[in-house]
Amino acid sequence: MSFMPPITKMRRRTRKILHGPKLPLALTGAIMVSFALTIISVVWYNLDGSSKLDLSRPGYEHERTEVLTNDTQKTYDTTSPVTKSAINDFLKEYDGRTKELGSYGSFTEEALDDNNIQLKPQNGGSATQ
Amino acid sequence: MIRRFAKNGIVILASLFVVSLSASAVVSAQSDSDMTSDKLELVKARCSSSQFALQQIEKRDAVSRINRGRAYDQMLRQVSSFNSRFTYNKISAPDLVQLTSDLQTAVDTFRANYDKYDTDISDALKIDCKQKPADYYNMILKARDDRAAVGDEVNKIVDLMAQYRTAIVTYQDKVQ
Repeated sequence: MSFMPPITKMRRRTRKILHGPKLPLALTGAIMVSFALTIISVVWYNLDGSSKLDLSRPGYEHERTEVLTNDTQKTYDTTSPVTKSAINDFLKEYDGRTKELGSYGSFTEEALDDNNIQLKPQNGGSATQ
Repeated sequence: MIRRFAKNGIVILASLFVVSLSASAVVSAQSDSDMTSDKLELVKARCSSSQFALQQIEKRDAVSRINRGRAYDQMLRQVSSFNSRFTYNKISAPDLVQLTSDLQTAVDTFRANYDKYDTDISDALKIDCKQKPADYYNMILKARDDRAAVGDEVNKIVDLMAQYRTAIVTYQDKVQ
């Protein structure tokens, strides 16, 4: 048995793999690429804030029904003349949207009151607020 | 010479470390003293129910955030398209462009503020409030401030939308 430097050994092994059957190599490559892409997408999902607004998670079944979805993206005319009637049409839709926005939660401060988070002393407790 | 410098460096670093440790201890002690022992006991006693309530608030807020975000996007597309129509017809409307830009900035700030607020709530839910009631309550106080910032931005958008409407109405008299 002759001595072989580790680099030569490694080179021979790599050459053997490259010249050997291609299927295991392709499968390993595909698994590694998909693994890397999965890690990247999960990290991205968590970092960009999508995870916070993802209602498809378990426990959000009820909230899912409350989200209004609009599948059709409305396209707007950008080349017709600006007339009184065009402005009226614009205002009709605009006012509808303003009304719609008024029906959503507006992040008022009371929601996090001690009372709402079960931290208000009851029965004349002496705890200060 | 080099040894002396290294020694001095280590001494300075060690002093900085000690100073920062004592400063954080002072801050922590101060925040603990802001809360009465009754309050801490209350937080400990109602820890689970408080966190459950907080979780429900977080879920409701997520719905509001999603619905608002979608409506804001649609509104911005509508006003941007209408501004383009003004430009195409060679009608100068710098006030509309400025208001649209302000609206876009306010919507972006709303989103950023919500992320901050939601992170506070998530952090509060991660705290073991039976063991660390002061940390939990301090996080709630932070969440209140950040929620107020979200609410302020909602009001700002309402105000800007009203200004845009008023501006559009003035153009109604100028066109045929």
